[in-house]
Amino acid sequence: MLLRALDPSTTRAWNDEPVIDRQSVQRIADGDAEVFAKIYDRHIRTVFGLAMRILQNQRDAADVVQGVFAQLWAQAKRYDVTRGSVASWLLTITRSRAIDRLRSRRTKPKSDPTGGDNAVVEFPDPTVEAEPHLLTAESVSKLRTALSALPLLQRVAIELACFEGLTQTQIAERLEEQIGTVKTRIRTGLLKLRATLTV
Amino acid sequence: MSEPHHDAFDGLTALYALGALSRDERRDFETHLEICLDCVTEVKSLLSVTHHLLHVAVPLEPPPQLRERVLQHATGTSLSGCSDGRSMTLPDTDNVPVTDTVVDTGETQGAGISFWMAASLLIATAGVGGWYTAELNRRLAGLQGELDSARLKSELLTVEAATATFEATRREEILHIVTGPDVQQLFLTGQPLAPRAMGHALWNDEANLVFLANGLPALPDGDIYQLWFVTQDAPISATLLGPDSDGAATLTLNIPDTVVMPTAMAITIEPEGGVRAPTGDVYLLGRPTD
Repeated sequence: MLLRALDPSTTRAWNDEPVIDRQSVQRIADGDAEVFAKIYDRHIRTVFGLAMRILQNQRDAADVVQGVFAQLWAQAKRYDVTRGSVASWLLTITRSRAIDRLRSRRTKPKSDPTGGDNAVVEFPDPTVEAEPHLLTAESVSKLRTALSALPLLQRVAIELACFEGLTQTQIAERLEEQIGTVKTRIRTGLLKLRATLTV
Repeated sequence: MSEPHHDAFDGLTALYALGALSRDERRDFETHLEICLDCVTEVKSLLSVTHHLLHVAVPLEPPPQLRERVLQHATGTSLSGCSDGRSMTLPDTDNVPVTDTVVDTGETQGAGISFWMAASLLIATAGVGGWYTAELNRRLAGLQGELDSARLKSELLTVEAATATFEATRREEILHIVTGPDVQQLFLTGQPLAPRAMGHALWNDEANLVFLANGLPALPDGDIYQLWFVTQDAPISATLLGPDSDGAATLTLNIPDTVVMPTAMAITIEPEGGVRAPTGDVYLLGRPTD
């Protein structure tokens, strides 16, 4: 064994984190830079992992991460503790920013001040009601396994919506399928994934 | 209870929960949600899934310099004292048995390598045999060929089309680096746990780096390979990589500001998600010529 050490970051319990996070965000809102650094350390790997999943490019992912945490610092006062976990909040912001970057990398953005259909459609508000299933390392692992076990086109359709921000029409065009087929694939796939979380 | 026109919105719950409706579709569906309890109930249950999906992406270790950059950008203060980088000792490659295909421990080269000459020259300088020449030529040819690939028809190829634009961009980036006049390189050789493995890093003056690997053993469940810049102070994580079924991997990354090239590079096996400092066995190692 040539190199051996223990990484303490892999041993942290998930279940304690939401409360700690929410308290931390309140302190960030008061301008506590050290707590901000701790939140960064706690979530950077999941935030960076999602940015890389969407962008597949380290430079772009790093830019997105910078924007996400800048937004956390600037808007911590707006964080509503009744709306889901801090982790989900950060990941929702990451998704939006990464998909924006993905689109700007592909095409020149159209000048539509309203955003139009080019604007990233965020998931509806991550309210507490939207997270009835406790987010744990185990539930994430189960969902990851279940996603990979979905029939190929069900999985791809879901991933195109989730990680590329495509609408049903754009997914249908990409997969050369009818919109109705895409709709069915996505709903069937999500229901299977939901079943995984409720087991 | 469903409202009378529910059928017109049948199946939209999942698309809404995934944010996959257009602006107009979303507006109409939200109007429907105000009067349809069935759809509200299903959307709520599916939102739990869609928010979980964001956590499904495999956590990754970011470039180490990103922390300071983010903290300074956001807060205007420097909090770099919390870094927990540890030292990494290079194994003694003098005692590593030499295999049929691995001869050199690595060296750097400068300047002016044309695209198709690159592979041959790289092999010649490393003293590696024809197998690697053929393999590298095949892979570089594949990169070039895929840039021109036609519209894909079959189900599997349709999936590739979903990422074709992004892949083309990445391949252009690779070609830009390996054909540039300022390209330099470093070879990594297989260590005792992977004697047939090889690695090859090429980078340019813009700090863009391409890394190619061959012959890496299949990863056990829950593990991943991690690439390191082995600087004098401490190893710095470059990225994680999971080879394909042939043990090959190709990736691009930016060299951190804190790394002065050429420097030694190594690949270790680590827990999924990577670690801040190397903990596992070394599979590939390359050092600049002294």
